[in-house]
Amino acid sequence: MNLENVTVELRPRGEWEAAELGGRMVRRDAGTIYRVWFAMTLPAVALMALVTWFTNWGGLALLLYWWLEPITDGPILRIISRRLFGEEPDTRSNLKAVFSIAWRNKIYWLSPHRLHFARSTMMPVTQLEGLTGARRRARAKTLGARIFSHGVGVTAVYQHLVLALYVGMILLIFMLMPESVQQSWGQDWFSMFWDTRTKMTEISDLVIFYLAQSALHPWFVGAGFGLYINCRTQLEAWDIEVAFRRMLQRRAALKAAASLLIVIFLVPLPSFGQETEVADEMTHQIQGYWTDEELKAPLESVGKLEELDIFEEVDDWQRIEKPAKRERDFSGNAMEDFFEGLAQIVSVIVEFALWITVALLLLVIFLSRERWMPYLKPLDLKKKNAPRVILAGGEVRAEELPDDIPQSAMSLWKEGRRREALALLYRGTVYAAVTHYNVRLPKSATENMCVAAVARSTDREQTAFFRRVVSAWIRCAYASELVDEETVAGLCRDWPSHFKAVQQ
Amino acid sequence: MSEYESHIASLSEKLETLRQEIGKAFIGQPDTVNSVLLSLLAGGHVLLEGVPGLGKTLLVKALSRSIGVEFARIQFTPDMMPSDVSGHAVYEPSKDSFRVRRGPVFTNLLLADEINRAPAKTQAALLEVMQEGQVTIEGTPSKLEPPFMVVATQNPIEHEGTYPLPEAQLDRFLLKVLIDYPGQNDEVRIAAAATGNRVGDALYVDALEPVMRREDILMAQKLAAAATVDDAVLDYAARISRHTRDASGIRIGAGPRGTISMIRAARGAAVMHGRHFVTPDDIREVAIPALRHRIALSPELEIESYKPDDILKETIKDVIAPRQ
Repeated sequence: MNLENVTVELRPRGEWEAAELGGRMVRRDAGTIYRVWFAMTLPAVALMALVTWFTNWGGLALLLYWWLEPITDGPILRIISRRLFGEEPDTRSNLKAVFSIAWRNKIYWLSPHRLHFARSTMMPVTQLEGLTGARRRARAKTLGARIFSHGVGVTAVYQHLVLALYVGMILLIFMLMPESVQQSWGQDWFSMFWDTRTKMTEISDLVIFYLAQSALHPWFVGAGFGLYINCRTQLEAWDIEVAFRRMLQRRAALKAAASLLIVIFLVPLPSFGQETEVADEMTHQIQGYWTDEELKAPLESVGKLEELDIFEEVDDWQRIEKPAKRERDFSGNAMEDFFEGLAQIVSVIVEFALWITVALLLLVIFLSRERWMPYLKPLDLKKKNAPRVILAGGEVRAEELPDDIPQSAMSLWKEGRRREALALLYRGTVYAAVTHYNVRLPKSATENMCVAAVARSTDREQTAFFRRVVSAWIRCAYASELVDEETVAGLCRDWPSHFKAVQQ
Repeated sequence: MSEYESHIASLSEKLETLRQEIGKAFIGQPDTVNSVLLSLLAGGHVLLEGVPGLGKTLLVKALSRSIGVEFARIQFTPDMMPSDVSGHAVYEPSKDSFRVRRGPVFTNLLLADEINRAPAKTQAALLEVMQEGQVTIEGTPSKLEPPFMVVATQNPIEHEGTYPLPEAQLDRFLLKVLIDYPGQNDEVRIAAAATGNRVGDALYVDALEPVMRREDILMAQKLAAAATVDDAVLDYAARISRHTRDASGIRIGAGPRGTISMIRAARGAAVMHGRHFVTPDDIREVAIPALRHRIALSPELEIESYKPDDILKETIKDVIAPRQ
């Protein structure tokens, strides 16, 4: 990496200007980049189209193609980075390097880091610098502190533009489509259920996505690279290094010119004393600059960014002393003092409001604990939770039911509280079915739905018994008719044999 | 078992026989047959919706043949006038007077084929007859002989030149029943029945025997009307109906007539199940056919091709069943 050969002006830029610079770098070598891009991606798209055509995995193929997108970043980065340092783009050499470059350090980017929000800015760290592990993390942290948010912005703009282009192309196709096929194609294309789409639709989908991606992806990579280069320019003072080098070159030229002047004019002509003094002063000034050795060391060290990293990994807790409170410093300007005071009042109010909000949130969390506490219970694996059974809008709890349900029901029956007896028998049976046989009942389940759910989870005998209970209950509940005592006694007698474990 | 219960049990058996008899001509689609029968028991009218060729006309013919009542059919067209439905007065020069010629509406079982092809005023004339149970010709009202049931059909795919029934008129139908394509086995049976040693492809109902009489139907309607409906069940039906007004995705919910229709149809369902009382399951069974034509979906859901049935299923799931 020779900074003297850099083909763009190295100077600190604003982040969006840097991203635009990256775009311009892509535009400069668009021909080479697109040749390499299509050579790289067309076979992949053709393969995915074949997979879609011959299998039912069209959706998966599109997803896979999208997921592998980072592989294409490397060759594009190679072209624009080499061009940055003065190397003329050569399609043939770039094509030859595609396979070695494309997969370089890509395991990281094909893992869930594929979803990194600022991939384009961080890709050069692994692709160009070849950093991995802790070194990559340290570098990413250093760069991320400055350009992560802009990298996210670039990604967001890219994704939205791809989406807009993709949807736009689909709509254009629809607008140009004959009306006779518009409805069927439309239903097919916008089908919510992927498996109902035709293969031709899925392949068209893949191709349209590929075209949208092709139009924008090199610019996305370029913008991220521009941000990356600008960040390094600022962190490693590349612009200063270049200035130093130019200064050294000028100094060498001055030295030669001064020597020549002294030989030709100053020695034979003492009357030129004034000029001699000027020349001496110039020589002194030049000699007063750093020597080559003095300049060489810091310039070389500038390239080692690790030494410039301002972050330090700390493994233990350290107390940070609170800085002394700054005394309020009035500027004497009444207007400034007024706004400063106003700002302080507003900040106190906002802080107070935030604390109140936090307190209210905590209060809401505390008051709603009954709602969310049950969700935490499954974490306690040792404790088996009793399932919730909702009947008539209320939850039936084990503690609300007597220990011996059939005996209690029979007692109520004999006391003349017959509806209560049947209600207890029914509630107890439903609860026992849920707890004992893991029958799942939605809150809107009617009696027949309960029977159907029990039939799905138990054997024929249990279902028949449950049906008998339900039959007795619905007659009582909805026809206000009681079954005879023998029926109730039979149900109470048979109950323990079906729900013995529950009763115990 | 009380006398009422024994009547119900007997009726349930007859209805089962009736179902089997209809099934000889109208093969498969048991839910559709049940819906039409329980609507008959409830004294309501049915709107049948399905693509052409699914046997809508055949079902009504088979029903009329099996219960031994009068049957008439009106094929609605855009040039049809109200008098073509209700009838009109004809001048007789020989007697120098007007004679009333009764329209096809004077029957027991009326098939209003493709009702949405008739203009609004003709539809309104029929719907008025359905509501009032009487016809006024030249200022003279005439009561229709009970039982009177209209089975109207409409085609969901052809909208060219049709006059869709407005919500207020759809409300007059007790149930809206959708006829779907038959299953594989049923289709094979239909094909065999339609092509076995016959000229043409029509399915005939001549072989059907009347298994119930007009009096039986009237009695069945009385028995259904007397079925017990507990307050909890009434409350459940009302809650379902009210929930459609609050549910997201529904622009216009069902009105009180929706609740009433659910109860009426549920009584029919209870009787068909051999019960003299209505349970929440009966309400649930009839809720969708009773409400699907009484709600209007929000435009977003319509654009996304949701059907009223999809939303109603979710809505009903939110309503807690009245188990005590």
